[in-house]
Amino acid sequence: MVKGKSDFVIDGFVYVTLFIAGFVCVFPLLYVLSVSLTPIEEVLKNGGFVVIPKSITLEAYQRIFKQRLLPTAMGVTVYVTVLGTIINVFFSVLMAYPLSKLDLPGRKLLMNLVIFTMLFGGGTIPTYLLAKNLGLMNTYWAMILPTAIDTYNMIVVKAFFENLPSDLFESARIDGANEFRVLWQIAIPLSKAVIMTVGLFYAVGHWSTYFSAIMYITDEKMYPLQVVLRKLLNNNPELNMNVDVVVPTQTMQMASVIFSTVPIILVYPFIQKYFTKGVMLGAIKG
Amino acid sequence: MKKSGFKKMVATFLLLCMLISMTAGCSKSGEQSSGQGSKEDGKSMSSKDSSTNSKAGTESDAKKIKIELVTGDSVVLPPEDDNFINQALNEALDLDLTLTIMGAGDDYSTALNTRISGGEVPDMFAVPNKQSFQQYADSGLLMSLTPYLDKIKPVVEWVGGEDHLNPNIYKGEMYRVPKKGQRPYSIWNIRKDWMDAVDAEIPKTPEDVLEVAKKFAFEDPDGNGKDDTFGFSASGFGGLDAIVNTYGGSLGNHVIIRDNEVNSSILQPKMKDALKMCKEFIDAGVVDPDLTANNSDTLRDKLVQGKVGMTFYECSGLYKKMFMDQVLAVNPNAKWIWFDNIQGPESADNETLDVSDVAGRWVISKEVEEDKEKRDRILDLLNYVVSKEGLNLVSYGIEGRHYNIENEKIVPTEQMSKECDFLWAYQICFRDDLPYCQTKFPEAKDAFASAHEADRYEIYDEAVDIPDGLHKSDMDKYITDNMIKFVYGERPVDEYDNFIQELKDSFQFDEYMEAAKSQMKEKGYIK
Amino acid sequence: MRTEMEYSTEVEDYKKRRKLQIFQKRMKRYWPFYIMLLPCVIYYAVFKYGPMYGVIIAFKDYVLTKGIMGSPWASPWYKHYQYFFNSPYASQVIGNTLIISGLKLLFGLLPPLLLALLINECAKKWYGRVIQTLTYLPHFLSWVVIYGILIALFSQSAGLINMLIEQTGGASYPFLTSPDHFRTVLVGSEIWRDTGWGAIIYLAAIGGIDPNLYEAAITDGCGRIKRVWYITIPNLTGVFVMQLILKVGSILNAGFDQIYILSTPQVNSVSEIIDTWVFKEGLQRMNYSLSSAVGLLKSVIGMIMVLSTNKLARRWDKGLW
Repeated sequence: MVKGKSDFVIDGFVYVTLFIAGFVCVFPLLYVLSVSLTPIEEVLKNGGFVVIPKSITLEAYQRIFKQRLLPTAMGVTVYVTVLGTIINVFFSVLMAYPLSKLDLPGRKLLMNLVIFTMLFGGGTIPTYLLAKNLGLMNTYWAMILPTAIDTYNMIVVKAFFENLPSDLFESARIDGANEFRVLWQIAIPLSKAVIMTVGLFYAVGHWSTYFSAIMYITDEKMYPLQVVLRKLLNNNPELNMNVDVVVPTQTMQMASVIFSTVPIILVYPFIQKYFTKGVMLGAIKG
Repeated sequence: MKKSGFKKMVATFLLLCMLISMTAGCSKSGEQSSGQGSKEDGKSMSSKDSSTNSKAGTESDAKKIKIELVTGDSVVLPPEDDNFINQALNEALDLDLTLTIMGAGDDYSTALNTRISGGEVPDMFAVPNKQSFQQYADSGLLMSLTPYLDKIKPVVEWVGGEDHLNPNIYKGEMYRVPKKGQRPYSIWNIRKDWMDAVDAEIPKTPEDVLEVAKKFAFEDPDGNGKDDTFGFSASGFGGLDAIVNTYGGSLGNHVIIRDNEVNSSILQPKMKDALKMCKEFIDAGVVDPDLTANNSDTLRDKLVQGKVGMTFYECSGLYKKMFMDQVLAVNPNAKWIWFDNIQGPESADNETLDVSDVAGRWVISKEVEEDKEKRDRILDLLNYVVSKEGLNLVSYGIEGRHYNIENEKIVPTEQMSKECDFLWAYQICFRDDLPYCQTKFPEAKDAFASAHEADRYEIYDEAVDIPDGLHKSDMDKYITDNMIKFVYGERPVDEYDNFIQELKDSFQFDEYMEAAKSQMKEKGYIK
Repeated sequence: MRTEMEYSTEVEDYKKRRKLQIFQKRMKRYWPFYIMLLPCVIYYAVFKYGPMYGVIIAFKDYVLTKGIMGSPWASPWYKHYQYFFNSPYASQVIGNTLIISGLKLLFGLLPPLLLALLINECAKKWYGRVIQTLTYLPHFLSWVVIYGILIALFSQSAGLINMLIEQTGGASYPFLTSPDHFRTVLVGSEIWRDTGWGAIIYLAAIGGIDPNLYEAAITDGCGRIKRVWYITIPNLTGVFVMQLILKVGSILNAGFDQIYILSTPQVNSVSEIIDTWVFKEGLQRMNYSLSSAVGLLKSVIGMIMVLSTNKLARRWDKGLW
């Protein structure tokens, strides 16, 4: 394919716009990163705004790591995220597949019921009572089960399944495969991109678990990361009025932001590779 | 039709599930379930207590839940083996104590309320606010201390005698554990080095403050050739009360007592003058433009950076060593000093103090009452934390390790600043605030003393329960909006009376004041 | 000769038998799907529908110690709604909510799609990937952190932008405390935060487009822009409509966390939304009933919006269900 002149212009436009977008998005994060690595005095001298630190210190991170609950909290969060996401994806796919079959009897009713739950809910207290009566207090399940399926994510997967060409399924059925095999061997491999995406959404949700932990967990060894971090790094100026309170420095606050977001950020590039085109190609030919 | 049959199936199935959940939810809610894991009953010995003298028949767990102000790296309690306060309390009182921290602020109230609505009432806990307290009391969840007043004489003495128990009494019963009051820490602060640079003197009146502020804003006190300094700032619009209070009023609507009658702070005669004075400040261009957006942290950043020369601010937020270090790190020549309240046309009150807000925050569950031993232990605990020994423990730590007593004075050791930052969670009846602050933060002790002595504008908001159907926060919002408009020149101060009328017409102002009058009389604030 | 009655009963029997046959046939065909659905349906029934009885809190004077069933009914039953609509600020609050939500919808739906297109069009794939990673980063910042960043940049006294303005001789501008531009700050910061993240799903969808289509188009002599217009975009409309329908359902939400954290008293007249009002009036005074009542109302309206938008979308065959 020969690149014409208009191609250059378009390319240029694309690159420049993307550069601006990328810069605007990453600049504040660089700021957060810089402040977290700068000694506190330098931060203060510059009015709290440091883009390229003159000297680097890991003090803020060290102070965070010294928290005795932090390693357990990290472990808890990783465990809940991994286990939770697997469960989430499993059930979301399991539910999305039948619902993507347009001729399934009762489909419309089910969809209505499901969408209804996206907008209406009982509220904090009944959910808490339910969890309590199911014996979920102070268990990891309390952070996983109540949110096992997120309707929005499930609908995303369903929409994707609906877009898959039906001849694929027809030919498989003719070959005598049962529905479970079709799901497992055809639908899922073709939907890697969507499944990874939805998995990412779920994982991020688990990683940020805070409120359900506060409600259901009282054993401090089971606190997830966000709870411990927020305890350390209260950002509530009113509470800081208490004479005894040790106010965290800005550097520590920034370090905690970096600390809690970097792991999840690192996961994404691994998923990116599933977004390549041509996923369908192999299927049809095969 | 087949479809309707299917629909029926699904519908019944769902209904069934809902019913099951409902009954499951109902049977527990409202029930005060006893012994649900929040306490160990009977004479269990806790093996985890390494340092408790385990006598035969160690008393049952008295588990407390407390609100936690989460911050810094101190609010996480140390691990049990290192929690010397817990251990010392256990030893002194023969107990197995646990303090659980359930989050902070709004999270705490949600978590606590959810837990209580699930039927689990902790033995002793801190109430998040007045409304929840009233609900607990009305539902019979709380144990009243009134029958046991003679058993907690030390506590009663600690707060100043029986006359001072009033705020803790609700509908005739004393549900709250009394505590000692606390005075605000705010005082006027100024940059001495700037004062010297522009040849200014300590202000004594609002006019003086304005003059000095002008010098700070326009005469380049930091000598850097740039017009980047402000004369005055505060953490939020309410900071201007330091000025307005001296005219006898306030920028917010507060319940006050004048001539033994209930009145409102915004109805005071000199309010218009006060607003005019504030407007002069704004017009002169000496005030930080972010005044209304500031909170205490952003304000402190500005103080540290040297952008503001004068402020009305908590001394604990500035003169503690860690903050002073920050100030000096930026500018080794910076010197902050404080000065006494300014005197206005009506008074030298600077800042509001709600004198009705002295009720204790801790309450005891009614179930405890049935277990006589437990109940008595809790009363012992209360007496202990106000006793000299107990007070020292929860204020300062372990004698010899965290402090030594020399000539009757507490002298902290190095360990205190390292290990004692979670202690205040155990101060059930609070503490002797002034000596406490002065001992823990000796570098600021004079500042604390001044703040303690300063005159305050006394209000009684907490004593008034908001009547049903009254949109209080709407009214407050309208007031703040308009006060800002008056001060910033967006509405002429001459329209002040119209503004008051608008409050009466559309915002139920009169109803609120009526309710305040009758309630204050009922509660004995007005004789 | 058969009587009419006998005849009609025979017809009845026949119909029943036929129904059973059809049912059995269907089950034979569809039973695996129902098996798949079973655990999921149980989940929904238990965890989503189970707690739903809680909505009656909206019509009661909820006392937390009496539980939901034990609390007295509000009198009149619409008491909390009355309280809400009687507030002098009710219309302002509703108006703000609609305006802010509307602006966010208007300006926020398209950018993720556009960004995805741009990233996809990168000749050098690594460039696109890097930029994509950078753009979704802001999503992970909490509003508290973003507030700090906004202050560092836009504060009137100490913000970077204002300092630059002053250095070039201009007057500092109250970006964050002026009612005129606060909504811009709200909408802008949300777009900044969520565009990159929102592009992810579009990119996933693009990944599923058959490359043969592109090949064919090139052979036919389609230029780049035409390819995007005729192939890529049509394949993304499905996702776009889905986002639209779902976002429309939360039109009365407008972003509580963001607004609560970013607001200052001077901008309240344009930034106070239903949720912040409910928070101050209700939750901070333990008035769960009020917040439940308003929440229910929001849900009902959201439901109506979703249903009507979906119906509209179905005209173009793009309905969600």
